[in-house]
Amino acid sequence: MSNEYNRHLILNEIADPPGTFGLVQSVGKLCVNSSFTFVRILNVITEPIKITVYIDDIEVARDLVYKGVGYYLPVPKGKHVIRIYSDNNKNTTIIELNNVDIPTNQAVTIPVWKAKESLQIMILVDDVNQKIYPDKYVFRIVNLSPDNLSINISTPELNYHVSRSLDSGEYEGYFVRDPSKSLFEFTLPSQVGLRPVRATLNHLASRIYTEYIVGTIDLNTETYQKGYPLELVVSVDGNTIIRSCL
Amino acid sequence: MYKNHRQDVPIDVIPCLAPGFTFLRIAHILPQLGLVSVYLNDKPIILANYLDFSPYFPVIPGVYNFRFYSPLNNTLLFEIKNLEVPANQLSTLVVTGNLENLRVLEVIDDINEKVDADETKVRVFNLTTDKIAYNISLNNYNNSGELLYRSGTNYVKTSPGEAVLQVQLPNGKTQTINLDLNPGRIYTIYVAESLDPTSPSYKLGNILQFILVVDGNTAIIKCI
Repeated sequence: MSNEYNRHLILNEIADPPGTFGLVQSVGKLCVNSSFTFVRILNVITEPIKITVYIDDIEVARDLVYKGVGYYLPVPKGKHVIRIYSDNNKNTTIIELNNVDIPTNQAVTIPVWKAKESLQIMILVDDVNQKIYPDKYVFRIVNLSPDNLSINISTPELNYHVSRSLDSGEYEGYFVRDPSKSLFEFTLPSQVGLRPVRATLNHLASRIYTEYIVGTIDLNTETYQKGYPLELVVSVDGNTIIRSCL
Repeated sequence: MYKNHRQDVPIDVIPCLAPGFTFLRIAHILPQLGLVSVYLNDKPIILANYLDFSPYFPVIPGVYNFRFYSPLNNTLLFEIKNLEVPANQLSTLVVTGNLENLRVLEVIDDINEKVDADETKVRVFNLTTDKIAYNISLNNYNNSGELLYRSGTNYVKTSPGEAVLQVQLPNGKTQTINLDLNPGRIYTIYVAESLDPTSPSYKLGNILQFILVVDGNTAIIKCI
């Protein structure tokens, strides 16, 4: 695991209890209130293009490649205009959405993907009120399949279906799990006979994750070779460190 | 400029300070008060207990009245009027002293400060009310000189792990505190008066207390 990854999870740490006389410890965190929300962009368009995204003429992501994600930045209350450009060329708007309602007092991830030749966005709320467990992780599954594939997701060692026939553009969760139970199995109900794809995911306790099932642009992946035109993008969500101020 | 996903690690949470905003947190070091409700103009922002450093919250730059209420009966405890919040800063607003002599100090947690994963950075701020300059050393290295009231050192690099902070007191004694510093962190150590003059430790000469805080610049970066 990279140092950078560890570094940015520091804000999730719990302050050590006061030890030596007179020493109090505190850890800096982030919070939102009813005037703002924290927003980031995720590019999972299954094309080799870079996107630059503006919300109300403020650049919130630049040159995001496939599976690239922007930073969480504050966006004030109100209806918003979202413009997405290709390859940082402001003359090439690939999608423009007006009067987009982004809920305040939240963290929000906006994935951009292509489904049936049409660009889609989703206002995916990373619920800042979601409970965090010190010895467990929390996750949800989002299906951003470009071919509108319905997907079954299960955790076989628990003999447990996370989701049956999760349609494209939909999500399920949050689920709470022990960090040791992190084997996931994916099948496509529309393609009987394919062996399931198994993914062992390394989740850490006291984190909130989203597993994005997305289309692939790499035809050499093992998953693709098995007949699944899909990839899994694992994300630590903003609600791991961003909480409601009140 | 923006992070791209790598296969070996999950997409990470990286908050950034966008141009035209400031991230502010409130440090409540008012021993007379317990839990307070902090309002920005007329809007409740956070609850803070004594010795709490609130989370950082985004603020549009401007001039604000900060009002501190008792959450129990909504009584206005005190007010900081017409405080200017400048743009593009990561700041800690330290409220200390007492209700009769309120002291407000805006400490800038420099957004441009960086730390490597195998090092630690530390600075010290003097919040004591007695207007005495202290000599403060970390691991026997004096990096403060005479640290005046309401002033702080620059961030200095140090090795992570155990560290010893020593403060020379006016009575000629030295107060020492042991720290355990994690790597990849930017810390501020706030030095304030001890609260409990009746405690055995105070009677032994430990007249100061220390608040060790991880600053937001450890993890929050500039968007552009």
